[in-house]
Amino acid sequence: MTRATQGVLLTLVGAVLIRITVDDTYLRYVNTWMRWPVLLCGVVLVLLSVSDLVTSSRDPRSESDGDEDREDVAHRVPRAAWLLFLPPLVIFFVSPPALGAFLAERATEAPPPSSGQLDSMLAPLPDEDPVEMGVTEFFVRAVYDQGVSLPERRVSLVGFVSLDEDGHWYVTRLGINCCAADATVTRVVVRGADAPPRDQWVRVTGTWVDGSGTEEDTAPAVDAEDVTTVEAPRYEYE
Amino acid sequence: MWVVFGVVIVLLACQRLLVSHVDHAALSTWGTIFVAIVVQSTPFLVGGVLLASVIATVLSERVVRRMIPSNPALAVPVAGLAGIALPGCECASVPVASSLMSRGVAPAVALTFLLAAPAVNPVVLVSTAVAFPGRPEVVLARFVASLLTSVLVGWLWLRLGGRVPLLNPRAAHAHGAGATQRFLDNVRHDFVHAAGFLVLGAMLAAAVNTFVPRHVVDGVAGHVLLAIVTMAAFAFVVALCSEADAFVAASLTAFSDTATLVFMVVGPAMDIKLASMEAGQFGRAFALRFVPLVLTVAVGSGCAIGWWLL
Repeated sequence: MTRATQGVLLTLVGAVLIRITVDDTYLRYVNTWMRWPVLLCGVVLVLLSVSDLVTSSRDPRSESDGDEDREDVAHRVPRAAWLLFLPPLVIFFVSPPALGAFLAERATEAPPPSSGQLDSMLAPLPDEDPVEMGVTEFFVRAVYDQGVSLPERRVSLVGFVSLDEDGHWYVTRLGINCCAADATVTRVVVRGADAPPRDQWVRVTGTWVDGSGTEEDTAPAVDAEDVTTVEAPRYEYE
Repeated sequence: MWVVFGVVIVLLACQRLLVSHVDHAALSTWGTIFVAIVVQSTPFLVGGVLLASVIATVLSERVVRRMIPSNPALAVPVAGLAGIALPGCECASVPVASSLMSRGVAPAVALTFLLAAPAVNPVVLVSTAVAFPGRPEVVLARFVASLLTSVLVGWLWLRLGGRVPLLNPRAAHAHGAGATQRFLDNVRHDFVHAAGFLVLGAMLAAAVNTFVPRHVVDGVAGHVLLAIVTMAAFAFVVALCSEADAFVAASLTAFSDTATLVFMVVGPAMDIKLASMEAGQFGRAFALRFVPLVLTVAVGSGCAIGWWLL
């Protein structure tokens, strides 16, 4: 790989990293807190290749001086370096979407929340009707709080549709800590409504099925009054 | 090196075949996870490369020699403890270790640092504490087992007298180049050398993540020995970043505490992405000895500490 090719490679990788942070594509792949590290990293990579251009064009002596050097470097760069072209190409041409039902139907369930998370999630419900609630929060209230806050309340959950072998369908959210590789799934069975297509984002309004999720090996469920299709949120993980 | 390319070619060929058999959703899931691992790791790699270049530019051999005990047997535990100070992912530590070696640090000492840094730093310990609420003994066990692994590997490497070839010595700028120029050249050089192997590792890890359903992994959880071996193998192939692996470990509730600990000790010390990067940095012969050694020691100390503390 010649030095010029390396320059192109660094610029390409850097530019793609900058671009995905600017247009929010990065949210499909990593957690929100990765925004600044990724952006900074992209800028560093672009500056690196620009600085190389500037120094080699400004100082002709160092260029003639460095020719042997360059030859040497070119020989030693492992060919695996070419693989670095792959991620920018995949991002540009395939632009993989955020994870959906395919992974949700295979992933492990989210771990129990920490006591701090539990406290903030189990705060008294606001007076609105129906109560807007995350799928994870609903799951936690049903499973880890034995559903004490849920009876008699209408809730509204937003998530995408996933299925299982038994013919149930779920309103589903995935959670990630660092990146999509560590995704875990939280999902709630929807009863009393026909399943929309897989991966469709929906808002499910309904009430908790009494006792569901409070015993081991039962999934929390919601009796749906209304299922409407909605746009996917900006950040699809929870 | 050729084995690496062989793997890539087989993978590419397989993918052609797979396209017709595997549905579109699986491929796009693979793509998402592949891109996610690369996007997540690249900033850490760049950070590590910058730090490595700072070491190479600022620290002279004399300074390094004064900072680290001259007796390597003593320097190994010091390097292990020094790992606490570098809060980064494991991708950052490969170029740093290589840079330390080129500054005259004994290979065993640099390797200890390479193993300790991603495993015992405060960020990892805090995320472990968050993932296992109300169970400080898990955090302690992880810290002790990871430190033990890195120090043991360091001492064993000292004993077995391993030399580490520096495959990619930086082009020497004998004259004409200023410190800034040298610094930038180092950064560019190290990044280009390491990043390709990171991408290769990410490709393989994403494939495992996508095509091996987790319930296959969960299926063996009941068996004591099999569970430990499975968790070690799982940690090796999924190549999670060390700051996130505790959350995944906590979600695999079917497994025993010891098996979970083995997962968290093996993961930061050795995984498919690191093995690929180390093969690129230090050569295949090195990787063939180092990877099994680390895996064995990590599983051993994970089991011992798990039996003792958990």
